[in-house]
Amino acid sequence: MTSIRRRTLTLIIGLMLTGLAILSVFNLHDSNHEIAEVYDAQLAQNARLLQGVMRMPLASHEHAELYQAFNKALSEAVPGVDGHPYEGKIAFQVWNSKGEVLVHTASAPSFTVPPTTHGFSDVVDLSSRHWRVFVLEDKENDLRIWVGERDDVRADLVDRIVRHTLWPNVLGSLMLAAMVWLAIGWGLKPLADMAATLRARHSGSLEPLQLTPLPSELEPMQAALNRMLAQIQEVLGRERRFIADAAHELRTPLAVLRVHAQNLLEAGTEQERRESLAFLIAGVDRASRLVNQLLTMARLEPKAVTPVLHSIDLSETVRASLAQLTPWLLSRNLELAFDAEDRPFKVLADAGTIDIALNNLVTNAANFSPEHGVITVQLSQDDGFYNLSVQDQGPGIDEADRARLFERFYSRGNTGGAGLGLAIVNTIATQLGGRITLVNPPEGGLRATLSIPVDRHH
Amino acid sequence: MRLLLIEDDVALGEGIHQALGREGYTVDWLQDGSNALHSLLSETFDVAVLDLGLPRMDGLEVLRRLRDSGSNLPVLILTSRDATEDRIAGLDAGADDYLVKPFDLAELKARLRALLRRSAGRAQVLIEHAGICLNPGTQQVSYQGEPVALTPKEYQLLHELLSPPGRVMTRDHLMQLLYGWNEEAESNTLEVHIHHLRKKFSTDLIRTIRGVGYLVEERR
Repeated sequence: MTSIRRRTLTLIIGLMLTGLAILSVFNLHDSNHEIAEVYDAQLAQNARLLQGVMRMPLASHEHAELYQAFNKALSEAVPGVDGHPYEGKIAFQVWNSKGEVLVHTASAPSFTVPPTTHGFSDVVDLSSRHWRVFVLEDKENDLRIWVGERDDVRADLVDRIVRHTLWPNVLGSLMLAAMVWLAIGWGLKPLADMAATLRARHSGSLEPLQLTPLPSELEPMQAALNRMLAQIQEVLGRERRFIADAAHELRTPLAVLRVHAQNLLEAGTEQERRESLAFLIAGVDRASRLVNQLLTMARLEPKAVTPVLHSIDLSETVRASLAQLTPWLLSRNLELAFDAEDRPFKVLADAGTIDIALNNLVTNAANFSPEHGVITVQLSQDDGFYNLSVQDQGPGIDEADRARLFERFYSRGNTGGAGLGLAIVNTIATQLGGRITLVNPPEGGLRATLSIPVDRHH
Repeated sequence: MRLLLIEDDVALGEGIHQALGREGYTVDWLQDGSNALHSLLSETFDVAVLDLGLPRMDGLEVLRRLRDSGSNLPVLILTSRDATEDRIAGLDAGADDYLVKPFDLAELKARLRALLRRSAGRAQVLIEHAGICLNPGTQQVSYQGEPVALTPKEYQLLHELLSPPGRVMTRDHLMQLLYGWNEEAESNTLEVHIHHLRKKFSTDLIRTIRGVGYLVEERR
């Protein structure tokens, strides 16, 4: 599990350390440079001081005295109030043009030949020590002045400077990290509060979340969560209702089965037995139909799951469905007619649901048709809708019944029906953005019309 | 016993009609609420079996209006509404009993017998009068300890006259009881049944009140 706190902290500390490293490098470079400048200036100045001293016209024995005086003064260099350990690491040496050494300090490295380069340079002496060197040539006075300083003096200094700045930086960084850790925790507190609230909830609770105060960053989360909770609640409610309805509606078919089974047991004659058996079989068929319709309804119901809609030709779909239904209608001595203009009727729908709707409408029509009745299916256009109508020659509908017809499980006294057909068609109509209307036409019977919006893109 | 069955489900109605007919009831069957209420108010029944989800008028409404009219008719509600509040609503609307689908026919028959017994003002299972003992559960009848064989119509007639004795039963009431709406009957069949009953028990068991009907006297 990734923790936002750890993530943020890792990033911040990483950035801080990188910044610190870059700063330190610059610092080191800068210190080196500045130290070099100051020291180089000192070297040059020392060389000029020597030059000033050596310019004095001296006899050769005086050179020896001068040399001894220098040596004496330099040998008194001891660490303490009047001296510094680094003094020993600074050296000089003076030659004349013939290469004879005029003066030199004891700490000066030995040379096979006097250096020829002028100005500043870095050299390594015979004992592999690194020197920073300044050579001044005074042709007028026949002098070649060499002033050198051991490199480790400077390195030591740079080292100290860096060490003295680095440690406070590292310590400061650690303290800053601790403070950042606390700050992130404080910043993330609303999130932690939300988590605590969620944890404290009863696991089955579907009540909407009400966090106060709610930071703006968490608003979309709470909204999404509440939307989801509401959806779950709706789905659960629907499921519960559906199960209750289904159980309720299965009671009557079960009662039918039980009553006829008991009648069968007590039947006195062969004819009575056959009658009861016929009722039993019809009852089983009816229960199966009910179960099938319940399943269809269950599949259609969750409106959250919208079916994938394609542009389909309604006339083609209807013709295919009717072809499937025809043998059944003929076996019930009913006739079927389909009227539609010979052109495509494009709608955004799903062929499967159209088939279910038409099946239900035609089955209804068949159940209320008189013997040898004609069922007329028509496809027509009315403004932005295609109207798929199924008309029978039955008794039509009572105005008193009209309101209840779309209720689930209301079956108009039709024994075979589960009372779900029109409810299913209604659900489908709603899904497709259309509607279902029932009319008693003047010529008699009932006309059920499913109106589906025209697919304008085709 | 004349029973009005109010059930809109054809298959279930058929089954109950058949079973109760075999039990000796004269069953009249209606499939919608408003017709049922009309019949209940205008005709005489011994008991009614009432479904609740009915077309045109809900069963509870039928029951309420029946009770408002002052009827004491025993009513058994037979429904798929099984929630406790539904049962309470049904009983409070004036039902005498409440049975939930699916149900056992034997239980329905037993409950109907109990309702009829109570409505006749008896708690005892057996009907005893003047040496006659009638058992509604088995439909067996004995006279002075000896079993007597009766046809279903004779049994119904005797049962009606004995529950309880002392009431004058009109000819029309007894004819409706025996034949309901469905069976066609000869005009003198009632007299034939009465004659048979007098023969099987005693000639003075049933008194004829001329122009009115018949009566089994309370104490003899």
